[in-house]
Amino acid sequence: MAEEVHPTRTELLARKNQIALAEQGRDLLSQKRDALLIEFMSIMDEVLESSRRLEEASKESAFSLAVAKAVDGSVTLKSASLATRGEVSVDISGSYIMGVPVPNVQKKSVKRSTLARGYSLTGVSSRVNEVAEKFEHEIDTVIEIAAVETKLRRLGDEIQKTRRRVNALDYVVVPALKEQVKYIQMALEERAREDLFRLKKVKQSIEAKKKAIQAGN
Amino acid sequence: MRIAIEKPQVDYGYINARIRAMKSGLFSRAFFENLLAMSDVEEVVAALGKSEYREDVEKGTVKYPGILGIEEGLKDHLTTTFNKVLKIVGGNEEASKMINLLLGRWDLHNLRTIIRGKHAEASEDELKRQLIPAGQLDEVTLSELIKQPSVKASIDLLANWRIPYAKPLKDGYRRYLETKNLADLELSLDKFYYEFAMAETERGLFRGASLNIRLVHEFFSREIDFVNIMTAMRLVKEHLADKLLQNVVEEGPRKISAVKRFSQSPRGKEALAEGMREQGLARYFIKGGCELGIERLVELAKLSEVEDLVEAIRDTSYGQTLGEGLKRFFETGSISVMERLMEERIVKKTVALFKGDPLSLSLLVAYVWAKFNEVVNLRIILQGKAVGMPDDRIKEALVLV
Repeated sequence: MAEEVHPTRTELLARKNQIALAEQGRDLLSQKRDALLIEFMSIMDEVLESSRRLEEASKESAFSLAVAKAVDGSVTLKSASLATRGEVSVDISGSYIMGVPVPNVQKKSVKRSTLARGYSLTGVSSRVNEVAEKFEHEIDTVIEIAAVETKLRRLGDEIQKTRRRVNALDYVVVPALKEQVKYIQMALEERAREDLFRLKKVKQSIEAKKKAIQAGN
Repeated sequence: MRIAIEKPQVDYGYINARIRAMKSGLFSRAFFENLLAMSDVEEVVAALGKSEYREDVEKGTVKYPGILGIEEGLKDHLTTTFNKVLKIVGGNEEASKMINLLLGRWDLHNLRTIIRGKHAEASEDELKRQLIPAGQLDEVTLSELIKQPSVKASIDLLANWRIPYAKPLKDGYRRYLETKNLADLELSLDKFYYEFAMAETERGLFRGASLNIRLVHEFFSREIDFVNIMTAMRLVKEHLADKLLQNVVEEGPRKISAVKRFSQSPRGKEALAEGMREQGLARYFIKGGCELGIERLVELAKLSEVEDLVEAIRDTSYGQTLGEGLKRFFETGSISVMERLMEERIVKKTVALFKGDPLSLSLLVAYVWAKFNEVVNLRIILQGKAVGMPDDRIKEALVLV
């Protein structure tokens, strides 16, 4: 017991109040943890689905890239890529889930029509065009998954933090306070027993003195 | 690039003897099947080391590591071979002009790359790596163009040198300035290349030119058909015709108001709008196709599904090839399957010219295409092996002649 405890009745009452407060806090935190877990699990499904889609999209784009590189050559692909350079604009705002700040990503689709890619219809083969199309789809999926995954990671961190707090209250703070209460109670009882014993001794000595006086008379 | 066909030249004996010797160096179908059976890229490179590719591949792998270096070697080999062909035909005006027209597609690639690079502010080194100086514009010319600070400066330099490609680029530049989209600029360049080739060969035909010019003319007109069909197919697949028509219809009333006579009557307005719609689509097609005219192509581009388009051109000689690709298109949803089949058809028909008149240009044209196809096949095998593509998928992409 690192903390110095004064075995007094006031201290005992204060400790009992602390235990009640800690138990109330623990209950609230476990409720928060459960609510976050429900939210986490619902996003988890979304993340798993997005990951599956991303895996599929990247497999498809890698395959079409390999085919275009093989048939048209890296030189042709690189040349076409110079014409299609562009930007990806993403608007990020924030919101709260159970007090946890999470990002909301609003994006414009990167996907463009063939006419908007910068090269002419006659200038590249449909293989090269398909590579552009598939990678645009992949970028869309990456941005989508990045937003959901960040949300998931933030919620995961918060769940872990909350769980640590609940465990600390459950296994450290409340037992320690209970221990202190027990110690104070024991000390107070001990003190009461000592008082009783002393009083008995005083009584005995008074009675012995009374008997000696009576015997002298 | 200035081509004036004076009179047909007939002396192809020497040229064809040299080309026949070069043809013997082309890889056979069995050689490609052996390469395909090899387990990895190293084995394929070792096999190439025993061929005429050795020197170029070695140089390429010194410049860049791995597959990139090998591809660089293949590119250099193609450039060297075509430059050699140009030297061989140097003495024969007709052959030289015709081969220059055919190899002009690499000029087109180089110019497109330089313009794209200037647009994207790419570095000189980055641009140089993407060039294939196998056409008329040699390395020195291309280097000077690369050094220019902007798209405009590159076009101006072409104009100063009186290189014909400057004209379409100048025409398309104004629209590029408005939209900052290179598509229109490139479209003018592509159309110019094919229409220039057709005009040059037609001029030769008009003057009673030889069968050789007829052969090149026929080749270009078939290729124009191929490019146009693929353009129509892309417009149909992405339903772009509707969007283009919508744009024209929206722009229509503004332009129509300028033509007062028409704007006075609803029928006139409608007729003008219809004309503009057609023009909106027609500008994506190249004139001079063998079997498909612009009007028919515009109609094809308005169709709603790719299979309808294939059905609509069943009556042409391309119908069967495209029909064969339709099943794979339904499986994959990709029109590149049909494009590859059309490319295969072109390669096979052109390489078949080896069996043509031994004292004509046909051997030369066949060799250029056979060599190009050989390099593409090697690249397919190397890239396929490098990324672990299944052998049957690699074989599907190859065109073995």
